[in-house]
Amino acid sequence: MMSDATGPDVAALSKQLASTDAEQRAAAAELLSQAGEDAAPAAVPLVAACGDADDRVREFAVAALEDLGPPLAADIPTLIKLVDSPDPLVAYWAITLLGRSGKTAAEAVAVLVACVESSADLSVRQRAAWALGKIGPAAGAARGTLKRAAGQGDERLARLANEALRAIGG
Amino acid sequence: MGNRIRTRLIAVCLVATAMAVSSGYDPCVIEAADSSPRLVRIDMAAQPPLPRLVPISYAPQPAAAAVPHSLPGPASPPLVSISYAPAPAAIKPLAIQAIPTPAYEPAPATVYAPPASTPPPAPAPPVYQSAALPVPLPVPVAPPLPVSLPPPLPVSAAPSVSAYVPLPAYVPPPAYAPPPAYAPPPVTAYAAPVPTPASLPLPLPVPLPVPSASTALAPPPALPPMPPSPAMPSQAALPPAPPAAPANAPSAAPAAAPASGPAGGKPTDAITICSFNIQVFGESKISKPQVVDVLTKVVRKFDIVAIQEVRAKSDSVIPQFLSAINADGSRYQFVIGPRLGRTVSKEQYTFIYDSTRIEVDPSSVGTSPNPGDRLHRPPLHARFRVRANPPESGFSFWLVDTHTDPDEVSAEVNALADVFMEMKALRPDEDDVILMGDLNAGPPQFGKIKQIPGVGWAVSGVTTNTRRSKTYDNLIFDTRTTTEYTGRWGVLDLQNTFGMSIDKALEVSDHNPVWAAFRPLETQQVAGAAMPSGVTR
Repeated sequence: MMSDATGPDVAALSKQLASTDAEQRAAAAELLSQAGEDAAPAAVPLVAACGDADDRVREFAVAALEDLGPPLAADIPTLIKLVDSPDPLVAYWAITLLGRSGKTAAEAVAVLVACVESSADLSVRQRAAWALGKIGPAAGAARGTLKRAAGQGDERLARLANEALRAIGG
Repeated sequence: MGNRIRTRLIAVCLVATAMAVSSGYDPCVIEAADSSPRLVRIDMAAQPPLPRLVPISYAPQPAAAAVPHSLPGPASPPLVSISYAPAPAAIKPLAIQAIPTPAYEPAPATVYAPPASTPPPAPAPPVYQSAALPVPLPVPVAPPLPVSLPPPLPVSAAPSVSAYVPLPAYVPPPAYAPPPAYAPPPVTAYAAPVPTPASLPLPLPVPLPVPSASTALAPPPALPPMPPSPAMPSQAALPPAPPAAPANAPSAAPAAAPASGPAGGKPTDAITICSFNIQVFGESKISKPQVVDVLTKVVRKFDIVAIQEVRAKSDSVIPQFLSAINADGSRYQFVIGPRLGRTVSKEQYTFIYDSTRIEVDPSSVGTSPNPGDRLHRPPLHARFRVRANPPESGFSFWLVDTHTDPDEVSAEVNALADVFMEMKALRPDEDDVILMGDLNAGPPQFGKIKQIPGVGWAVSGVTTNTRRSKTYDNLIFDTRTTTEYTGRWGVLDLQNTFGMSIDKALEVSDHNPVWAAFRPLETQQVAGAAMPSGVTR
């Protein structure tokens, strides 16, 4: 599903990620990890694949997500829903893609605030604070939460919250 | 009280004491708040052991509950603070402004040597294409690359592992520059087949000689000097070192790929150090023979390869890879760091090196400090030395292998500047630090790294990813002190070198290897030398 002339068939690989065959899912994730920014249309299934039971699928999905850049704007509502996933890796990557979207993901502020306040996973809370900073002034509603997070004991969360507050301004 | 009663009481006390010891209580501490003595447990967990190299003392912080905490969520792990004695007068402060040098605790070395095996017949020398870019060498120190590779050295010609002479042990300074608090990351202990070098007793603490005074210093005691590799020159055979070339001077141009093959095929006037991000290097990739074939050929071209993105649940991937590399009679070994990452998806760094030309100080291998948790995957560092005669004349250096988080590049690059300075200050007898890896940033994004006096980088003006669109990988060092740099560097384009399509090259990795060449012997240090023109600070 990869060719020099046309690049990967991302749509087909996205469907393949939902296969019941782990080998098929792993192969799809691996090909998407080689697609770079061309894999952006597969952002949502790749984030969902971070919760796959197969290690290979998860690792290649993460590799693909690291390189695909910001997601399509049309995928933001679905990514917002994935933030609430009970799987921390799924939530982490949904948040990361929302952060990469910048102010385009302003509608995600509420769910990100909830993450900073109540996620049981520290890496998710930290990433949510980071994403609010990337959204910038449109995340003004997060100021109170970020100020409280900045006063917490976790050094990284505090630093990211302070950076987000500076980016939000006001 | 009769003697029998007294004897019984003593016996009862002895039994109680023995039971207390066996259950983890210290019978030496007895509280006398009431009439009946009680045993009190000493909580050793609150007193972390002192690190081996840096004299630091830990003091437990107040419990997390004492920190203002108005948000729900998991409690933060307890922090530790580190206090330091004043810096010794003997350590000259570095001429850089306000770069903290956090505490350092080396991780246990994981050094692997392949099991002894009879090398198979030498394969036919592969025909490689040179890198796409022209080859104007700024410093003509290398002989022309051989058209055909010489046959591999017989095994008996290579120095035996048992002849290994460890680097002189480090004598820690009495004090260290005050760093911010640092909690060393956990280090995974491996049960890899440990070679003889790692099991050798550490030598007496004799610091490496200062290059300018090497003739006045005795070689390391305890073990006889290791005979040099036939491929490496002796001090007398090496011509005078040329002036160091600026690492990032505009005139510097990439060179073709260095010669490849077993040790006999490598240049004798230089060692080559490579950085290679092998994307998701795990069970899937190691199971593909065509991918492994390319990867082994890449590694054999270089003396040391710093690899990023080992992602495997199993610990067998790198040993398997090493077996493939050494199948032609090569004698590569590796050191590997712990799995690192903030999520369940973790990565390891590893150094693979040609043990016939390079030795590693096993006690030097460790994960770099990460104050403030700014680095997603704190670098792996290790100290290497080129095998030479006398051993202490070989070029020694720190390698610092890193892979930044692409979403926090700016903060991580600045943190790496601190790591670089930390490593520079770690040993007063070692001034060569080469920070290398996938920075997810090109020189324009080097931030605080560019503020380090004398800093330079090998790769400039070319792309380093397989798609030829980004400059992400580099080797960074202080051009004033690492005068062993020859000015030769390159990007080994996987497509061109191995005649592959972009798809096949991407199956190997989304990054091309980048490399630089260094002289094998320590050269005169140019302390305080002026910055070469064209070097950006």
